[in-house]
Amino acid sequence: MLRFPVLAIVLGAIVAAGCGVDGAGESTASFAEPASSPTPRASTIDRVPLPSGFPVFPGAVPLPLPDDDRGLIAVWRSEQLGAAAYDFYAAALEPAGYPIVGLYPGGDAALIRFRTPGGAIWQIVAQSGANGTTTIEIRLDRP
Amino acid sequence: MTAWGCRGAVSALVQLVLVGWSAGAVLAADDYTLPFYDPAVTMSYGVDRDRTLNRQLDWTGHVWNDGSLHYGRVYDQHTGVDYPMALRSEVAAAKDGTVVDVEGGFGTTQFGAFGNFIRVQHADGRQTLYYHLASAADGGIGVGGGDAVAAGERIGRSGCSGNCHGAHLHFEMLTWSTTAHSYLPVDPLAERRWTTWPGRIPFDAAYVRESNGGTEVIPRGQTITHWVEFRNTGGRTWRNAGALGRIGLATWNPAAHASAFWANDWPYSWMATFLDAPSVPPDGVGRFTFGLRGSPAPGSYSEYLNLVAQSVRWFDYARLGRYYVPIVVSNVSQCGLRAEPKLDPSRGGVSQAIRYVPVPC
Repeated sequence: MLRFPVLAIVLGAIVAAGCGVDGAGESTASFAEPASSPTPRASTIDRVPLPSGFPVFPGAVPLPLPDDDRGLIAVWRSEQLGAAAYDFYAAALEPAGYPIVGLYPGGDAALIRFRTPGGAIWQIVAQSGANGTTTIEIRLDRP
Repeated sequence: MTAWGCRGAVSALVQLVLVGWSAGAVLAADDYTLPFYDPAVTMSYGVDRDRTLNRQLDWTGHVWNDGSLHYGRVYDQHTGVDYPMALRSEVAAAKDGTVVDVEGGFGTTQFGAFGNFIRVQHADGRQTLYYHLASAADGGIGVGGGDAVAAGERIGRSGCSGNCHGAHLHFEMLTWSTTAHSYLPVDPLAERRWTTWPGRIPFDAAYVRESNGGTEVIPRGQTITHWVEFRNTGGRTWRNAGALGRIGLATWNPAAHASAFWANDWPYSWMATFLDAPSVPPDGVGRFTFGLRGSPAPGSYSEYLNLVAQSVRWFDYARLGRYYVPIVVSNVSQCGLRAEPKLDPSRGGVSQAIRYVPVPC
């Protein structure tokens, strides 16, 4: 008996939140300045830029951004393996002004969701890459 | 709301419906429990129930075809359930069993392969695996091969050894495959009968009521009877039997001290009583009845009590409601005491406090 009213409330909330409307809610107004830290090369498509001063994992090497992944904001490769990149961002994001929304450590990969000054939610994904490296991605949030 | 945000809301709806179904229908079978004690721990990733590369079937039945991470759900080829927890957090056996394999030689955060783990064989034919544990030298391994373990017993501590990105426990269930002739992983979240989903820690309780919620007044040398009821909010059925895990109410602050109020019905000087009923399933209410003897000198006291699964685990005292019994030992000879308002003539007889008046025999 309880489930259907709850269902209706959640459905109502979804409708009220504008689901079904193409919401380009990603704000980029706060990130007008180019990043001063080592950043990946620009691709040929328009993307949300990485904000100036965004924490970069020490020693990480920027990689080119593929054109077929528009949600990808930045990507690096690191020679450090395991939890180092995840631990770095788990500690560095909030002091840099990026509140953490969720921490999702895992085996092959880990994910951190955080909020930008503009209110958008982004993700950091750290996972084992090829040849014994770690790949670090900054990307728009996705489920 | 962005398109992603909208999808998140829809997925939340799916989870809500599933949680509602499970909690109302089949929760609380006495089976496997969560392999840790911290009720704040939530899942970061579940099992990929589709073995196809770049295709993921998560615990809600949703299929993803992108091979990427989906927090709270799944990532590709994942065979267990990941629970984020700080390094060196306590890890518990999810069910009674026997330890059949142990590795403790990796560093607590040493990357590579499986790292440190414990494998337990259960009588129902299944096995459970606890991966990425801290090193044996760091306290990560609390059992050895061949050891019998009880459900809810601490067997080790978490770490980030092996193929690990961020400290967590990888908990895996396996069942014997007669076709593959090996143990294959199964999804505990898919078998909703198990109390691993939506999840309860092994031992947990909430205060319900007691025979006297105020101060117990005990004439010196006499014994009164007190009872208290707790709801079983954990994942294990409470039992009043067996050498391991028998549920009792024992002294606390400090743990297992010899009580000044122990009565003849106490099993030990530090154990007030065991569970009254033979068993209490999850969500049931268990009563604990015990005597309190007014042995100490007259005065005011407090006796702190906590639940314990004997030889396995103390309950979390804070989650129990920090239970204690306020006690006044009286030195008068009488057949009882009656509480009365204490009147202050200087304030026109206004009641200032409660006093206890002897009742003659």
